[in-house]
This record gives sequence, structure tokens and C-alpha cells, in this order.
Amino acid sequence: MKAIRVILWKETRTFFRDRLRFVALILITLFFGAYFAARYGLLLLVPTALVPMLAGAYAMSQAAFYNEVTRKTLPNLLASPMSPETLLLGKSLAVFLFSYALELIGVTVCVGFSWFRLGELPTLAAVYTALVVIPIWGFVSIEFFGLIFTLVRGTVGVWLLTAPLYIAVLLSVLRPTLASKLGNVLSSLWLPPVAGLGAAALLYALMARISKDRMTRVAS
Amino acid sequence: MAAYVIPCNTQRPAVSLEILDLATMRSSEEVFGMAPVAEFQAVRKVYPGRTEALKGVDLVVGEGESLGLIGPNGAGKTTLVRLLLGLLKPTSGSVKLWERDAYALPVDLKRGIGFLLEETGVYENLTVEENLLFWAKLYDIGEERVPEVLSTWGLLDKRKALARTLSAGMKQRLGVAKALMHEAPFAVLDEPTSNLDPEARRDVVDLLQDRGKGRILLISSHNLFDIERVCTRVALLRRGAITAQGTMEDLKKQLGVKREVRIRVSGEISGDLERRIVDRFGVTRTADNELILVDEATATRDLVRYLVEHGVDVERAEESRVTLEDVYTQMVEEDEAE
Repeated sequence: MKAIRVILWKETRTFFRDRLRFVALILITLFFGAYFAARYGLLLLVPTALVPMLAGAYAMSQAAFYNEVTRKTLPNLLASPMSPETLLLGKSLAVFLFSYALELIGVTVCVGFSWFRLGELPTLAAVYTALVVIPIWGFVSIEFFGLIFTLVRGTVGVWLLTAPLYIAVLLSVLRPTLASKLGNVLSSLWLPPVAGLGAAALLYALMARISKDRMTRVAS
Repeated sequence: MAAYVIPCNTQRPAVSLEILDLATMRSSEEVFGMAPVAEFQAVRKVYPGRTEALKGVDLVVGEGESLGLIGPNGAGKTTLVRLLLGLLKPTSGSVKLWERDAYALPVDLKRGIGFLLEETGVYENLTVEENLLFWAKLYDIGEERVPEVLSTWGLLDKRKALARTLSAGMKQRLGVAKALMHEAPFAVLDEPTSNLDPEARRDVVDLLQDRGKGRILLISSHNLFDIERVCTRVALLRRGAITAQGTMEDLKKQLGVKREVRIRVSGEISGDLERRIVDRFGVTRTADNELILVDEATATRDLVRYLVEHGVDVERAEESRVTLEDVYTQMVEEDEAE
């Protein structure tokens, strides 16, 4: 636990120092929160939660995982008194907390805007989807990005492997009705969160199986 | 009499490194009676693409010993360091640290190692102080040590500066400080003085000498001057194999590293006097009135005194050495020639 706390400490500082990335993510979150609320009211609360979560997951995973590889600092962490899976989990948690905070900002803006303008309040199912289901799948995507960024050498490979999630974000922006339908699917009570937790556990098991040898070679 | 000229700074040693056979490779336990702390046994490392970085390396680092690892680029030094730190898994053979498999070393034992890799591990978006705080927290050594470390390594003025604003030399210094800050019993340093200007290099070597006392050190470097100053034993790595190892003095003897004093005299030396100094001091005389002595420092003083007492004017005495650097340069040249 101590090692995870130390990684969280380091990553938090690094995120806030990466001003361009940080400001861009805040602006994206505020813009979509306000835009969706102004145009569709609370109908698109789920995409409003999804966009900052996935944007944060991608951008901050790049900062947390990929920069360690490209700047060749990863072998130092692998040689430190910490297991590789603890390291990857710590980084995933740091990215998750940051992305979740972004998502909360987006949701707050959307709900606040809708309530102020239209007097609407979100349904319990929408709140549950936004605050529980999407974060779970957000964590899964962070683990996925973490694995890709740690194991795949070269930007082209990384882009190709992460493209489906990019397309999902793009679609939710360009075709919000599709994203709304996705939101309906996600808002069912048991299956999405349970499946998400299963996927997260599976990816963590994969993380625990990556060899230091391979990670070192990728980062060298 | 034919002049006998031994190799000196201007002449490369005429010794072929191929003759440095495996007979010189005694383990430190055999040499010093020390318990092995790190042990490589017949270690091979083949990277994907069939690059064989190490070809059956046997090496032991003993308690309280400082071992310098030298070799040209591509010799396998970094691979060896990475194997020792458990970052790579040997293709065959074993790497042990405190009698445990280095690749699967328990976290508690890992705390006993301070390391500096070729890439220093400095985080550019953290300040100098935060970089050290991060490693202090990770090694659980108490954050109150950080100001002392900053002061020791001359980084106090830069403590609030982001690491990305530092010069390459300062980053290197920060990396070495990070490696040694928790005073681990075993320090593994890959190129600790690279990127440093001469003054900073001298400071770092001084600190390594000082902070390295009582610790086990393994230093890989191109800089033989630093290795000579810090390490008690040296291993030469060429094309993935250890070609020689031993104490500095052992190695110098094996490689034909010698001290030579040339004493220039004026006036005549009688045949009788020449015979006597040859018998007594083992000197040789060149055609241009130079006496060449290959011996300990005391003999030089005695010879000069003897010559003066016998009415010979000594114009100057010049000492030259074949350093480890000469030997190393020859080795690199041989590698490049092949």
C-alpha cells in the first residue's frame, strides 16, 4: 500500500505540472458539460461523463505510462523495491482518480446547467451509470492503456491499438444519440458493473504476468 | 648495449590481450577470502534477434569490495548491470544476489541496493527536491534526510528547480545522489561520471570514494581514471565475455602496465661505474646518456644519490607509466581493427 501511495504522490505532481495537457482536459470537460446540457438537457448525461473519463484516461495514461517508456525512466522503477504489478496498479489508480475528478466536474456542470436552465434533475439510473458504471469501465480502459503503453514500442502500434476507444469518444460527441443508447445499455443494474469489475480483474492479472525483462527491453 | 624500452604513456603496451587467459579469473573469495554478495555463473543473455550480449560470464563481487567493470561500447556492461538489478532474466546460467535469484529478489533485499542506470531516472516534471523525496519515500528512509543529501551533492541551490531545467551534469549528479542517498550496503552504478565536466567529475569521484567506504560497489564506466581511483578490483568485459579480472595491481602486471624512470645524466660514466649501477639497480643505459629504471620509487632516490656521490651530474629524472587507460585504449583499438 505504501508503494502505491508513493506512486500516487508522484503522479499527481507530474499531472499538475503538465500544464498543456491539464488545461486542455479541463477545457474539454467544461465545454462538453455545458454544451450537452445546453443542447440536450440531461438526456446526454452519460456521454458527458464518458468524454472526460476516456479523454482523461487516455491523456493521463500517456503521461503516466508511455512517458516512462519513452524517457527511459521505467527500468529505474522496475529495479526499485516494488513489484511491477504494484507499479502498474499505482499508476492506474492515479490516472483513475484524476479522470474521475474530471468526470465529476463534467457531470456537475451538466446537472447544474440543466437544473438552472430547465429545472431538470437526473434520474437515479443516470446518476448510477455516470458515477458507478462509467468509472468502472474507465478503470478498465486505463488498465488497457497501461498495458498497451508499457508493452508496445512505437507510436503507430499504440495509435492502432487505442483507436477503438478514440472512435467511441468521437462517436459520443458527433452522434450523441448513439452514446445515449449506449448509456441506456450501461444503466442496467448488475451486468455492466459486474462485467466491468471482471474485466478489471482480468487485466490486473495480465499486468501481474508481464515480465520485467520485456518491459525493460521495450523501455530501452 | 641495446636499450631496453618498456611501454610508457607514448607507447602502447606490446602485450596481446588474448593471452590474458581464464587462469587469472579467480573469484574474490579465492583472492580475498570474502563471502560472495553478487555472483554470475556461466551467464548468457541472448536478446530477441539473436544478439548475444553475454557469452558465459563468471563474476563474483565480494563483501566490502569495489569492482570496476570496464569495456568498450557494446561489450555487455549495461546488460550485466541490468541482470544484477533483476531487470533482465539470463538466457542461461544464474545471477545471484545474497544467494538469491537476482530476477526474483524479495522487496526487502532490494532495499539493500542503491543503483544508477545509464538513464538516470530523473523525473523532468518534478523539482530536484521532489525527485529525491520520491525515492526517499519509496525506500522508506525518512524525508528529513533529503536536505542533507541535497547539501552533500551540491544541489541545495537548485532544490526548487524543475529537473528539466538542469544541465546534463546536474541531472547526473542528482542521479548519483538518488542512488546513494539511502546508504544501501550494495551500490551498482552504470556510468556514474558520464555527462560531467571535469570539475564535477572530480567532485563525484571524491564523493564516491568517501561514500563508498565500507560498501560494496560495482561501477561500470568508460572512464578508467575514475575506476582506478574508486575501485579495488577491475573486470574487463569484451564482446560479452570477461577477458581479465583482478586487483588493479594484478591487472597492471598482467597487462604489462609498468612504471619507468628515465634519468638523464651529463658527462661520462666510466665502464666500472656503469657495471656497478647495472648490478646494483638493474638499470639499462641508452645511447643518449639516459638510464632507464624500472623499479620502486625508493630505488630512484637511491640511484640519484649514488650517481651524485660518484660525481655524475643528473640533469633530470622523468617518470612515466603505462596506465590502465593505455591498456584499455589498446583493447578498444584491437576490437575496432577486427
